[in-house]
Amino acid sequence: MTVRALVIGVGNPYRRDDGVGAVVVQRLRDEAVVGLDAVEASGEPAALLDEWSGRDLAIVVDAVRSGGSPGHLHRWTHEHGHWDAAPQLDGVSSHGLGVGDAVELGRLLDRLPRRLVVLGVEAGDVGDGLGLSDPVARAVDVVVDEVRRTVTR
Amino acid sequence: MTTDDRSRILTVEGLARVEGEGAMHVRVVGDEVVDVELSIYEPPRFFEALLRGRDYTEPPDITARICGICPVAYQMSACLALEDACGVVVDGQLAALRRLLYCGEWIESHALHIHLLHAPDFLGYDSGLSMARDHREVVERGLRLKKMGNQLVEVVGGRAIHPVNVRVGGFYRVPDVAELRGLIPELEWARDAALDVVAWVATLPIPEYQGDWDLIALVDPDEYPIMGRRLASLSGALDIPVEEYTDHLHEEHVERSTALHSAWEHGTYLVGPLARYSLNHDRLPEIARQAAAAAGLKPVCRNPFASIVVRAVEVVAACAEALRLIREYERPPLPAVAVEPRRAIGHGLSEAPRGLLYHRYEIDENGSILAATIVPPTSQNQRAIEQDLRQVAQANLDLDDAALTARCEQTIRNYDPCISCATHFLDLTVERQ
Repeated sequence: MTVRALVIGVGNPYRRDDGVGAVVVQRLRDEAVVGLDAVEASGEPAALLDEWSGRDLAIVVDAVRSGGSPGHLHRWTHEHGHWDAAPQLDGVSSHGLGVGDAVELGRLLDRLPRRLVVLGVEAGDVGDGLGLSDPVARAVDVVVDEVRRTVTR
Repeated sequence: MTTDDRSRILTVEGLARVEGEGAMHVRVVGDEVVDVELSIYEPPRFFEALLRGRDYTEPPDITARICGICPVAYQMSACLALEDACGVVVDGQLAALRRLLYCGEWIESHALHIHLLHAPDFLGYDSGLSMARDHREVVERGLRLKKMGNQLVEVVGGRAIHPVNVRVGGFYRVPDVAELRGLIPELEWARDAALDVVAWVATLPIPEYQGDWDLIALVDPDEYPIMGRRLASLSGALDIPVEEYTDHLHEEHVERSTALHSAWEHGTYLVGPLARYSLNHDRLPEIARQAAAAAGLKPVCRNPFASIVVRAVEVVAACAEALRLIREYERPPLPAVAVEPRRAIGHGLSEAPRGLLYHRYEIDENGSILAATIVPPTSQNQRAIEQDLRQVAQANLDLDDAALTARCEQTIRNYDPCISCATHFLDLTVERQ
């Protein structure tokens, strides 16, 4: 039996671009991509572990802020116990617990998917309100394509 | 840092292991703590403005988004307030299902706070992750407990994050008996595991401290309260129906913080597990009351550092309650009762994991929302937190700056503050070569 791939959209749609994960999840549901489950999450680590444990492939879509231009897409893959590039995810979230901590906790407890891909979309406007800023809204197509490519690889 | 021989300033800019974004600032001159600030960058009441003009059926779904950890609390307080406005009381098995759903949120939220956020403070770890390296089994048990809470929320609420099955008047769909009965084996494990957690947290080195505030919680003649219509203080100075909430408990704007502070004519008060426990100890399920006694808790607890033990006792209570509710469950014929709008004001109050959550709505005859007020537990607790910070800092001035800062952060985490609505950024550094 093949375990279906999972996309996890992390973030809060009431903080504009922070909702990009939820928008991508909705798009993927609407398009009913074959072999793919899609869920939303707040980013709380224990819930992420529950979602991705036992999967061959999990893709996390989240808004990030690294000072780059809004809409820019970052991609990191964790496989065979290490990252393909150094995203420095651990312990830097302003919330104390975030996706980086979830990956670290998953490593400690042997609860990571076989392959974990993090797609980070550079956020522009994270003020209160609904709807994505233009550059991030334009990036949604790119993210959805990247998810499709990743799943069929 | 130490600026001169007499002055010390302790600052934590981005508080870790609290929900949301906050900062702490403590200034010490000589032997005296002269200034204590808990700064909160919570967006000021965006949701209350967003709700104006919306339909009376919408707040349960909209306000659930305020917090990723306690969406059920927001949904329940919203439903209770809107049903109150419309003159409807939801009771019987629908009310029991709501309580069951809420038990799931308590288990989930408390298990997370105990194991990943609070326990590391007592054992000297800088994070839940470093604690997990040395205490893997404890953390795994905690996460499995939390998952049990998630499952309850999922089965009754439709999904674990931001449940979609709640509506004014009840639910969109009610589970059948077999669905709920299927949860019993894991819930029985969870109840027993929670007893082990109580015994474990009781072994932690808990600092001696007695808070100098009153305690306010829901009170109920029959059961450990989660949703209710009457609130009281431990001192007896307050004992009112929910309709009088804003006559006694006011909100004030404080310049340094975007959150509103709550004020009471009788002084500082605290809401949350200590208040619930101390006001309702005799209504805990027997198994939880025994666990509390075995852990050395008196019927009244005023030590916020012992809140970790009280939370564990409440996990036992929530598991025991969930088992009782499931065993007594009969599927109601309709998933919701009809709620017709009328021009009125309604009040709703429930016990979020962190304490009292108050909602008030004014609606017109078509059900359009004219005004909304939401008072979360953390804004009520902010004054008590600052008061404790001042006293704890003052009593521990012999510690060096790092140790004193850690003790102050632990003090803040005693309240499991849920500082903001859940915005979750992955703050990151990119290495360019």
